Amino acid sequence: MKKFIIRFFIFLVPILIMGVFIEVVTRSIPNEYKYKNNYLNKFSNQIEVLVLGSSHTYYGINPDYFTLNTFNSAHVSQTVDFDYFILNKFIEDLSSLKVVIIPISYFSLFSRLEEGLEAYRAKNYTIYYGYKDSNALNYFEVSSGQILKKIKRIIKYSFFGIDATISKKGFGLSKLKKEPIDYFIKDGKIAATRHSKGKWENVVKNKKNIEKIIMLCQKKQIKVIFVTLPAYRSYRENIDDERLLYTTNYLNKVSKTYNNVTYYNFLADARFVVDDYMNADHFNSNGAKKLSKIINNLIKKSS
Amino acid sequence: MLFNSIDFAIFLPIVFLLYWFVFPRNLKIQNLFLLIVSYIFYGWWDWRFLSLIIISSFVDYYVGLKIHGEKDDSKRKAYLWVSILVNLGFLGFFKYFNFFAGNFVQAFSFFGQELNIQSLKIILPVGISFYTFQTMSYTIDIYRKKLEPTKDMIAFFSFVTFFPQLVAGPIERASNLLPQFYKKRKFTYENGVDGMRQILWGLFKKIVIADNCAQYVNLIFNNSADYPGSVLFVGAFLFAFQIYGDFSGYSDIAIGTSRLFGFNLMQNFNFPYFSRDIAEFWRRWHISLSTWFRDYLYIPLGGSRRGKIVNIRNIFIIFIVSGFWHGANWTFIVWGVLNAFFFLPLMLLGKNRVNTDTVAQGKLFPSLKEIFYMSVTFIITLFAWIFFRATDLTHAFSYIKEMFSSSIFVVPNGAYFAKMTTHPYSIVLLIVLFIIIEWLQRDREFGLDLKDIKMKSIYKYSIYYSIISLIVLFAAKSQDFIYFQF
Repeated sequence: MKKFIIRFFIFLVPILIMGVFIEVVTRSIPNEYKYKNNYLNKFSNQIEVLVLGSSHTYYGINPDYFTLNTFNSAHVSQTVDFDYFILNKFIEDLSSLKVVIIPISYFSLFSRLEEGLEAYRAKNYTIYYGYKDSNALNYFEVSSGQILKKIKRIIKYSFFGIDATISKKGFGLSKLKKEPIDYFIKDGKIAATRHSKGKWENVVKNKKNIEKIIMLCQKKQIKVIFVTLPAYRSYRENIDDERLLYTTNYLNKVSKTYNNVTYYNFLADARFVVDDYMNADHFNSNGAKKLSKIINNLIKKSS
Repeated sequence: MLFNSIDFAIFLPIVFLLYWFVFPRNLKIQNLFLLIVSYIFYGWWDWRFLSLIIISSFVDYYVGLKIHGEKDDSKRKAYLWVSILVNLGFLGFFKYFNFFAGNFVQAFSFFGQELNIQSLKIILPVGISFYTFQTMSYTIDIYRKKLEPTKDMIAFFSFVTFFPQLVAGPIERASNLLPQFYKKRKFTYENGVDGMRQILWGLFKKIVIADNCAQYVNLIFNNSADYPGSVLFVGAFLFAFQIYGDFSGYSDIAIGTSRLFGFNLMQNFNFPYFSRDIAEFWRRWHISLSTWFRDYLYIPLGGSRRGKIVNIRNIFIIFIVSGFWHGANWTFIVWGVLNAFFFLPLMLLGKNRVNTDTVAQGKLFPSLKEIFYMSVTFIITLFAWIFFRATDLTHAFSYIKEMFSSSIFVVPNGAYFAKMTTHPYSIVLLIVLFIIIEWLQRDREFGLDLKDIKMKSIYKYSIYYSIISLIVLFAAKSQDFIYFQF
């Protein structure tokens, strides 16, 4: 027995050393979570418009086209509980903040980051933003996400450095690759199906977080703009009407209830055409430019 | 608690150390400890359903004693029926109530009668099909006077709930497992190492093979209308490896874990995809269930001794019941019927026991004839798996229709799988590697069975670290074990 246990621990040593090495090196590679957290730590007091939310705003709202000093703190698959966490964490330092923009997409009320395909991203909030997570695995790089990808990242970073994935103001940089129309048709259906898998049980929690965001902003006299971003026809045609109606009704009701809240629904806005999209439910930089200018004008008009 | 979870990775060493260092002297206390940790293991999922296992254990413990003590045959039979009705009653209610209710409603509406049977929101207790079968075999064996009942209640309850095999088998016979609870277990270094190897191999099968195949299988089966026949064929092919990796991986972990505690469980899979005919396949696939049906259903029905007609009937019965055991859906029943049709010609021609040895024994490569037979067996199994995986019969038929259309010649487009975490080529390479290892080890107990193989330690350790590296590098998104739903 003694021999078995001793040999087993000796056997584990190289694995543990490798794990610690990957953990330390991966954490040292610059990433957008670390960048955005540092930016907010340093420049919170200068930010006038804060953009939160998921990939829809990450790729869809470019701070460069805003008149007020804007920062995009959205992350891919970020759900409203993390929107609230980020806002709440920095609210005392956001002394110049006038507007918070939050996308409420078709799936937002029904989704939780930890339940989706991108659940591995939850660890980024724990490691780089200091979020307190009940899942112990989310405190380590090595315990969430594919190790193979981390090794590839380490090698790439060691030999070639790292390409910027976001602008200085946190906007997600996308490639302006022109896809054929067939691609949009297929992608719209797949994305809509994927986004229809969120659970109705999550609605209560998500609504609570949305209301916490509103109350927090109300206390600080900050305006909240909820936006539903445009999506290509193939996406709109494949979503569940009941969920969409529930979402828009809820947001209309909220915007009437709270005087610091406005809701804009751009989902089927005819000003956006296929050339504005990277895929069926995400803008490319053209679309982002268009939308950012529209929202900027709306902010200007309302102030 | 899942075997591939962090919870189990913490649970197992704690239980192991307490078992051998704190409770090694008193057998009763050690068994009681096993019983408690088994309940914790099961309750981790949903503690409410522990009551079912406890009731089932109580009933069969007392029924076993009563049958043994009773001389009157009709009373003995009555006691046996109590056991069967309680166990099948649980199974029937939790697993099949909605199926029967739904089908009754449909059948009556076909004749213009509207029945108002509400379907219930029933949660299927994990492992119910496994432990009910295990505990029933105990009372049936006592009834048949093949087994003496135990008076040791703790040992019996521990036998029913033994955590490594509680939720997905192997479905152990009392005659094999129960006596192991009466004897003091000994830990040997060799047995411990062997157990760890089998756990490692099980994790490889589950995490690397099954989970990686699963992400493709789910995408393809869930969107089958969007894909050409060639992609659907790939989906069916990958499902064959998913279900094998998943279930046999679970069995390996279960058997390996049991070894760490000084127990020996039966082999549940014996390299089934190297079978040369479907009869051989069924001797090598889910052995504990196949033999259960053989001993407790096929043979009591008359087996092959009462003429051809009865034999054909019996074959259909065991395959249909086996399909139905897997789930309350017509897809499983059709899967069973298909296998009966595949099996029948061999039985009628008296060729069902032709291939009882290991394929190409003592040779490195199989002959062309063996390759042909193995391929045919694999293809017909793969075809039946489509029913097993499909959501309903319409789905299965439309899947097969498209798979056998001219679109089977369309070259799959890489864009279909753009969002997959593991590259398609990596999956192919991993499956090839898996097949090679299994082929080389096909006359042993499991893929990483290195017992009694003379090899320098450095080579053995290189193999272990290579397998661990593959697990770490290619770990896909964790999926539940498929057989948990049964």
